[in-house]
Amino acid sequence: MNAERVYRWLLRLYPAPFRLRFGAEMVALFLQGAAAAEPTVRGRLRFWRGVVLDLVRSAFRERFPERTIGMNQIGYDIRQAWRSVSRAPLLGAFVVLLMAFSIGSTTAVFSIVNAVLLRPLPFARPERIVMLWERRGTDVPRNTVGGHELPEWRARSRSFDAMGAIAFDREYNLTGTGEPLTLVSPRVTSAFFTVMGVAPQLGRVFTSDEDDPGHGAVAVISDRLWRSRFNADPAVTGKTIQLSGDPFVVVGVMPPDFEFPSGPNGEAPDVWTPIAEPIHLYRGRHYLFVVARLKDGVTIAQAQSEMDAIAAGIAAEMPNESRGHGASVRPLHGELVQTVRRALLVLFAAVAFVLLIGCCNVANLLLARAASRHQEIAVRVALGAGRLRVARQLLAEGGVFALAGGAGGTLLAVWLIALVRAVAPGDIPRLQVARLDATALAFAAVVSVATALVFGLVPLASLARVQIADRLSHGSKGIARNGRQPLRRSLVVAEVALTVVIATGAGLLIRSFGKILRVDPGFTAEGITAVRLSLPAARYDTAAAQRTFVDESLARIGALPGVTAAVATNFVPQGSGHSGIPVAIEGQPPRAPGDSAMAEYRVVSPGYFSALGIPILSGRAFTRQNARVAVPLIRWFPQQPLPRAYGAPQPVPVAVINQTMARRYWNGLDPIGRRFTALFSPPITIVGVVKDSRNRALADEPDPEFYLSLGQEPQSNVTLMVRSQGPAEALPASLRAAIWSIDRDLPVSNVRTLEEIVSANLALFRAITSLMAAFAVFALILMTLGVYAVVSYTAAQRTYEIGVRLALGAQRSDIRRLVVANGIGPAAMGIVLGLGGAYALARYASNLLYEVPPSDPPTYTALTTLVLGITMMATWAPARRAQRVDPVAVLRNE
Amino acid sequence: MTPAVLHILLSLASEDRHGLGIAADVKSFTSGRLVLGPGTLYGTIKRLLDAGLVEDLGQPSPDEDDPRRRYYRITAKGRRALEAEADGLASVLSVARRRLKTS
Repeated sequence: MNAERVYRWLLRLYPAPFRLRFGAEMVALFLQGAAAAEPTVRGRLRFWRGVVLDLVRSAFRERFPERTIGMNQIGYDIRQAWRSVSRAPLLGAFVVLLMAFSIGSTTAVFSIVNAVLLRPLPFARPERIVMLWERRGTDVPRNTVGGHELPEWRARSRSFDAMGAIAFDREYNLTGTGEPLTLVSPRVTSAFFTVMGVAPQLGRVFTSDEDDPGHGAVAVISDRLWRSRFNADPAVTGKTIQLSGDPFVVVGVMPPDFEFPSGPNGEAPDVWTPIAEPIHLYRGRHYLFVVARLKDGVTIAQAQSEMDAIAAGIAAEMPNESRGHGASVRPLHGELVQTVRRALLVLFAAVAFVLLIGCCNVANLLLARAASRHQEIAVRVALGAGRLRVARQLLAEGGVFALAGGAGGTLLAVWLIALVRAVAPGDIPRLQVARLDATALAFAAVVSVATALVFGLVPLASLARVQIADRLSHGSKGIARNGRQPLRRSLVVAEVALTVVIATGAGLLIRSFGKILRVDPGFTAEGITAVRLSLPAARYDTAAAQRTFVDESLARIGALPGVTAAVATNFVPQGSGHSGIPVAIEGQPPRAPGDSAMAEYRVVSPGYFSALGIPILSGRAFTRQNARVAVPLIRWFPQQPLPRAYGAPQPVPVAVINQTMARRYWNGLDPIGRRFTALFSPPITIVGVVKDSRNRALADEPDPEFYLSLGQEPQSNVTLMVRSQGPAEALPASLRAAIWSIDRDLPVSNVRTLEEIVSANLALFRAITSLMAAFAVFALILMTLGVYAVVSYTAAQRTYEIGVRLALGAQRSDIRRLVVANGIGPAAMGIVLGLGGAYALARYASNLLYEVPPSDPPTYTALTTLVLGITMMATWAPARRAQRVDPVAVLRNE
Repeated sequence: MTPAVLHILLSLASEDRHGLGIAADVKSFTSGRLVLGPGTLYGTIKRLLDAGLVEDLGQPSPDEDDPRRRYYRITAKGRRALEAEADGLASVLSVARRRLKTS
């Protein structure tokens, strides 16, 4: 039960020996009491009040036995505070709710920011780990490192203890232990583990021998895979597992929190295998992610300048491969979180603003409350209560609010974190380790105490001005004198300013998101289901075998009822897979080394363009007759042998290119029939031009891109895309059945609709936008309440003055103007300040915006109008009330 | 003597009890006017143990009751303190009765 958990947690207030000795019995007694409490809201409240009083008093006594007198007084103060709070339960509940929400949301967002951005990575001295990238001018700051560069970097640099590489070019299927499973399977060099500095929990990591070709049939597995597929068997090391049909010997198991490097969609890795190939021969192939550990005493700047020199040297020695290639050294932590960093900081700023607005409101409410209690306090002081005593009581009241709000906020935070983890997109690194940890709790505590102080001190400030005799003699009307209330007005200014910042931020994001949603992806996603398959090299060792499987499965799936088209590709659109390659255009002067033309490429089956609704602008699509015997087309390095039957008579290599490629590389000419080469491929003839489609993400401008035919460049990793009509619920099952009727050992776990894939791409943006929108709505509500409270309170205080004005001949419209101006004045000031703040925030976060400038006039105009309108509305009711003041009644009362 | 001390000693005066038993007994003989919260109850018991007014019997035979429960017994010193307090209260009570009747 929940109450029991809360109580058990609260028992930490007691010293440990006491808790150990009596804790279990105390819980039993608590549960008895809980069961006996009336099951009404009132009964429960009374019960919890008793529990809290009992806890606070006895815990204080156990902690500070020598201060029992102080304890009694504190108990008295708390009881007194409780009484005073429960005299106005609605106000009290509202204040606590405000605080709980503000503290809860701030703590939750802080916990997430802390987990993702602040908490150290689970590696040995993670601040010494860097990532090394190849840099190409200013356009491409991060490129994967070429095979010829890594060995040179490693040999020439002196700044690093170790330099390891990661490659994501294999996707293994695990077979032989239950249902076949597709693994996230990075390949790494042995130095990778040296760099990370994490020991396996079982067995060993790779030795340098295992980097050599022919010695790489070993694997290190993740804790998750070890538990899910090997029952956490301690004797798993030495066992042989089947990865895509090849035997690998398990040599080690990594600890549970070691989840690096994560896959393209943020998935934790399942298995690490050695790269074990002659990396240095793969000259043009940029496929390595490089991590390195800085030597002690070497700074990132020093390492960077050394790498600059090394890269310049390599560029001079190997101009064909590396002209113009630099190197950049970046801290690993920053690299892991770079995409979400600003988003999270912006959210954190927004939520901190919400907290501040909440505090402004609470302070305002309590200020009003303190003002209406001036008389009570004056009586107390007159009867002999010391000012210190009264001050302590006010502090205790603030404390009650802060405690209740803090407790509520902590519970809310736990729930919010769970919610965010459940609904957030999968590609936020380290989000899954976010939980309400000690730091976040300490943060909540600091916020609680700070707000308690604000609540305590704000009424104190006005208490100091109370003149007892004055107060007693004037009764309630004496307040009319301090009609000007600078503190309150500045609170309204602050509230409005903060709200404008948040709401403008949300407005800009919503406009950006709207623009992204209106982008035409260039293909029709509706009705398409995608199945990702990874053909194991052991059984599909030839290109012909891969091609036969794809043809056969497309034929069987195409015959399923309701299926109107079945095609295949290597990278599903917007599925995070893509590949860039240097191209050389026939008939154009060769470009300077290092400045080669680049293009993305995809491999598709015949029928792909019509199935996805991509219009062919000129020429034709692929046909089955394109199939070649000599495959693959693309060679990655010049020493790579030509494919078998290269010289035999067969169809020529063909490509279909997109508009952007046609425009950029054959500007104004008809590209049909012209030829180009990709890296070390034979010349490829262009047979068609298709409309651009946004294959990376909706927000990314299309790159030059060419399509190759699966019949000429067979793939081991393919995604089958199926267009179907009618209900699609049964489709995944029948797709599986069709695939398994050809190969029972193939994992078919990854079945998604293309719409899901496109939508998942937007998930981070959607999450940020909706969170900001929620914060903005909440801020607007808080601001409305705040303005309303201040305006109506001041108007009520000025009733007497208004009566006099009316009696002296003021028009009712003047009175209305007076009251409205009272609200609009500070609001206008707040709006001006807020717009400035909003622009600064939007400039900082401009990379979150899509085709919306940080100074977007429509957003700013709309927000200004909205906030002004809301302020007018909030002042409307108090203004009407003031207008209706009857001067006779007011003056007679005097 | 605080109300909690007085009532716990009173409860133990009739028989040995565990903590939950004391709470239930006090609640019943005060007709629910005094409900001892867990913190107050065990905090007071701890101080009574320290002062030697009550002793800890340890645990009873495990088959008859919840093994976690510890039984407490009032000591001779505790009984003397209770009697002294009761005498004091009795004289206060008689004065109060007399004066309230005459006024």
